[in-house]
Amino acid sequence: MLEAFQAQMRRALLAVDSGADGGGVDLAAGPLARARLKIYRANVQQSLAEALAAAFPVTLRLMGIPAFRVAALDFARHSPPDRPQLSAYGGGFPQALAARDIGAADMARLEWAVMEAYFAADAPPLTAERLAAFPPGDYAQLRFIPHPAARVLWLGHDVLPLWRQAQEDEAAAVPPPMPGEEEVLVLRPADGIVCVSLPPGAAAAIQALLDGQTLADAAAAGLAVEPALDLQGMLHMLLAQGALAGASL
Amino acid sequence: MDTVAARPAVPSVVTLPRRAGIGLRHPHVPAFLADDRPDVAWLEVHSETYLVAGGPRLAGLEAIRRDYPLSCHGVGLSLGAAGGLDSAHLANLRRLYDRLQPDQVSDHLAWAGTGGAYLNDLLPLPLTAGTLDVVAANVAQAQDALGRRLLVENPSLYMPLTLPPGEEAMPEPRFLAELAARTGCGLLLDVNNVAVSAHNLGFDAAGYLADFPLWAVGEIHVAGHRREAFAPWVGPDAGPDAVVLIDDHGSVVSDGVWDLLTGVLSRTGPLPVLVEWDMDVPPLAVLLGEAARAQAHLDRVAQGWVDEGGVARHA
Repeated sequence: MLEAFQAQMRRALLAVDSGADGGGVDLAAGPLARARLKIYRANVQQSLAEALAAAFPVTLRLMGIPAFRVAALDFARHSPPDRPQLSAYGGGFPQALAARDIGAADMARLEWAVMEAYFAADAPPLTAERLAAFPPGDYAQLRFIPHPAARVLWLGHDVLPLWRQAQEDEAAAVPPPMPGEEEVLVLRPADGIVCVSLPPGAAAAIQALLDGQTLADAAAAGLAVEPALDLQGMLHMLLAQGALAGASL
Repeated sequence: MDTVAARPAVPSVVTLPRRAGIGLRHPHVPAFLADDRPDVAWLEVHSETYLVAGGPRLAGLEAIRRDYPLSCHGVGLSLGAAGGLDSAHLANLRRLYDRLQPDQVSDHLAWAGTGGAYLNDLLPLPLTAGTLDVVAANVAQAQDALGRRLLVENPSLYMPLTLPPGEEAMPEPRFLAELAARTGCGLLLDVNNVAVSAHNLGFDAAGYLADFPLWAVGEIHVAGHRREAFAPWVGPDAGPDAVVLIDDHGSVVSDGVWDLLTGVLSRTGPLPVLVEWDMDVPPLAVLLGEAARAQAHLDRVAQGWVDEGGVARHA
């Protein structure tokens, strides 16, 4: 009985509220129980939509509350969390948004990367001193351990300036992003999130480094995209921003 | 004097200070990290909020935890799930609890998901003998996996359940008493939930509390609730001015709930009392003011009680 009840109620709670229906829950018999079932349905769906609103606040401002709400409720009904951990809920939301609004979907991808970086594991950053301990002649063969928070994003809209502006002014409207290639490195040096806009070559090189390729191979990947790439400047930036947690030969 | 004889045969179910505590909410974290620490006896957090790999949220709680007794209150174990508990979730909680070393851990007499979906709500259970078997097995598994005694909280209820012929519902106090006796778990008595459920399901809160197994209670919750007109969903058996109480933890504690608290404390002596506030979180001073009110109730009742080896007894 308990198993059937829970399966029925789960279906009823994730369904669209269709007015007078009984929700198909055998134990919710009679008009009072059927009406009260709607309290649970509203709690479940609204709380999941609110969890998405908390994870994607700039996307919400970009889309406006009504459009975001429709998208969030639809996502919550079709893709409820798979575990009781709301900080991990919403990874599929950017892709679900892409069918409605590709600019908003890119903003959501940036916000999800920020969220993941914020909750990523802690690790002491690789310092320039520790790196200097390696023989200079071996640098080309170095491989790096990325900081758990570091990730590179390839976006199709200029969402980063809009995201930054939204952090500074929490009341201002967020205009629609313009199409255009944008590569972003998301990091968590110390306790705050940092987003760095990258030239295309640097994005390719850093992704290769984060994937564990040697510095020589990463440099080749970057230079193939952008022959004028400043490799030394890039490496300095990665060290200064705590993007790397270790190195080995 | 033989002090050993005054100690209970099993470790006391009360492991937090018998004083007023508050829920730690994100907007108040900076105040607790500052040099001038807020004066409150203990703190409670929602366990699942801190199930993250790292970062400032977890680091902040670890720093605060060094200065305050801590209760970790879960909302996601789904102790009533017919399909059993999520072992990956249990392992994650165990890691968190081993890291924070909370003074107490708890969750609810409810289910929160099934079939790989977590519904982010505390959902009602038909309180039958079969359900007791399920919940008892789940509580035993959780206590084993977490390596800790669990307190189980009475839920707030909105919907009457109609059982099929041949099934009989147990009153919730009896269900919880049997659960505690069978598993050795403690209970978390939420007197606001008693008021909310009593109103919504039409039972007598005082009678419920008269039957409640207070010997197993290790903590009490008080919170605010919202009165909502039931008119939009009115059925033939609901009167024109029917209201439903919504347990939103979004306002001050009502007079009726303070009265229920006083009645319980007069029978148990001082217990840890938590003021919960989750929606429209007010400035910390307001929350501390509510805690001071709870403490005043505790102080009034404390006069007639003494602490003997962790057990409150009449003086």
